[in-house]
Amino acid sequence: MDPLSQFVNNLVSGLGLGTMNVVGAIVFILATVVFFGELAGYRVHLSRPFIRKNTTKWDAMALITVAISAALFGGGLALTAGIVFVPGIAYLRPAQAFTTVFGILFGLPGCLGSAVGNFIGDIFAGTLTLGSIAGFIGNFFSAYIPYRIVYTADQANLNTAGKILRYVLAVVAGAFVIAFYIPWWLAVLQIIPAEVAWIGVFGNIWLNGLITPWILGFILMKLLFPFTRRWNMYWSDREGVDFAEAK
Amino acid sequence: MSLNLDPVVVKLIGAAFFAVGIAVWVYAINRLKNKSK
Repeated sequence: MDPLSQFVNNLVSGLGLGTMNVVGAIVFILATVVFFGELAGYRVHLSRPFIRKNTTKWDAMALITVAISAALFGGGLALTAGIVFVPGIAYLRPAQAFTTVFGILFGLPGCLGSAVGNFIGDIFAGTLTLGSIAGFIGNFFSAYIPYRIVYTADQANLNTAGKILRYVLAVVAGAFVIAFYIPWWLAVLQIIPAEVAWIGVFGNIWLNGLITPWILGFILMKLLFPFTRRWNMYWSDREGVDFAEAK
Repeated sequence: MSLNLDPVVVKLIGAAFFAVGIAVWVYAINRLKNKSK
């Protein structure tokens, strides 16, 4: 096993399956509430008022954006399926970088597109199981958390060390949510044994959620952000959000 | 559920989806360009 996966698995073993299950349950419940809230048009904030209406308008362009994100992420997953990181242990998902980028650039439609894209990927990779439900919502959060952290156009323009650090931390947070969300569901439904879910799958999802968005995602952000603004496809331009008011 | 597709077929389908994604993106850019005129 590679040293990174070994390190994560040792960490999980040290924390114990009980701790992982508790943290997983908390992440799962909170994230599921936020997911359905966003779909219903309401967003949770950390300041008063804690629940506000979100700004996404589900017009034709938003649906086209969902389709673009889903086709590119789903296609990317199928195209790069089976890239073995460590034989028999870990698989690399380079396409995972798309979720971070689509979330930050396209907002909620990009997040939903990432969820649908993972579902498409599961269908063609032959991994469509009950676990795909958690895969759907987990990949939504792989895009959503970076979107909420790298929120403004200024923050998404990764041209200073501070903004790059914010992006790096946003990726870490997004990877944590998906890495807890999916294994908890797999363990609770006994789709796979809890030991395998936490010692193995957790590390694989977490590392995939970190490495490719950090490297490939950063490159894609630098390339696509200026064009996305020029094409009037950046989420806040489309939704007419004034960041001074939104913050 | 498993489709048990040949890995080459999976890659071809993936490439097709990817191409459709790019095509829809180009369509969206043109649609927005025409709207703003």
